Amino acid sequence: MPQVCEPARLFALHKQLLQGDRTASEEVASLLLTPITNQTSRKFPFTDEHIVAEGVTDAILDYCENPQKFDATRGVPLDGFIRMAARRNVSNLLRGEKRRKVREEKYGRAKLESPVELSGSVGNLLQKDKKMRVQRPMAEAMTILKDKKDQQIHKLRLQGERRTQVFAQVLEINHLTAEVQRREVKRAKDRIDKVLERNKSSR
Amino acid sequence: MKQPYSNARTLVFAAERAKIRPDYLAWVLAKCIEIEDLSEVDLARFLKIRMPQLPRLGLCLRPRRDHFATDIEQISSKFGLDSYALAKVVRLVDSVSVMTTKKTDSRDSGVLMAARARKDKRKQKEKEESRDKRSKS
Repeated sequence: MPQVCEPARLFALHKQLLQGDRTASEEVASLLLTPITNQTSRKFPFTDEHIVAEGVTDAILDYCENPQKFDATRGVPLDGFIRMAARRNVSNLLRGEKRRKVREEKYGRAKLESPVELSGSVGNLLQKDKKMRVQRPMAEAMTILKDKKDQQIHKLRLQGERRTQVFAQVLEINHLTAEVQRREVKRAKDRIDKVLERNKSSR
Repeated sequence: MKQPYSNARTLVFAAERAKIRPDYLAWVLAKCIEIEDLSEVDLARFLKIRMPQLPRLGLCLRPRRDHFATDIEQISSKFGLDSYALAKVVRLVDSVSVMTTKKTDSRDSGVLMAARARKDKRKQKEKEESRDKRSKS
């Protein structure tokens, strides 16, 4: 990684901070903020720029508050030390963001499925949405599946049917043993899935 | 492709972040703005500093209590601002924050005790009055 500033200049600033210089923090920020933000942004190319800026800024502000954290005798340059802290901050922020998203989704799902009575219009919207979620793939599948039995099986599956006997009835194999019925039903389902998948990928 | 960050933009962002850190002048300036109900322009005018320099000033560490005069002088000379005005701002924020933080944990402090005593006196007076009324009736 290229040096963002002369090491001697940074070392002098570090010393100033240790001695209690009140303005050295501003100089450190002016010197390091932009180059380290650009470098960190390249390291996290698909990350929101606000998160990157936050991680780098916090790393510099943390260091200036506690310059003793940096041990100059270890041979690591100050900009490298701050860069590492910034990357760690960004990683932590991303992890936190991910956790927050999962929590929100979980909470949202729980809310959606909760039996709380909603106002009439909201109830309608939810029902409509649920209906659409079933109807749209059904309509698509019906155009792809040519066989009547396959269509019926797929329709039942989308409606949430799971009993083997029901599918066996459609396939007209209820006279066979339960084991054979299960196998045949599974085979039919797998075939339908494969046809639909193939069609989806060819589009 | 992301645009490279500019120095001015990152400094303004950093000064904003520093507003939540009491070790930085940005925190002091933000508190002053809040207490005095000022705008940033007003504050810059009071400190005799140009507006674009305000984020840079905010990134300085706040003056230490035991080196107050020298720290104020150092900051003021660097930014060419009015040291008297800066000292006034820091002192104001210090005093207000001391009062607000003490308020929560000062059960035994003189201020609260005096307030309590007055409240108690009033209550006692009310009690006595009601007792007198009852005895009269």
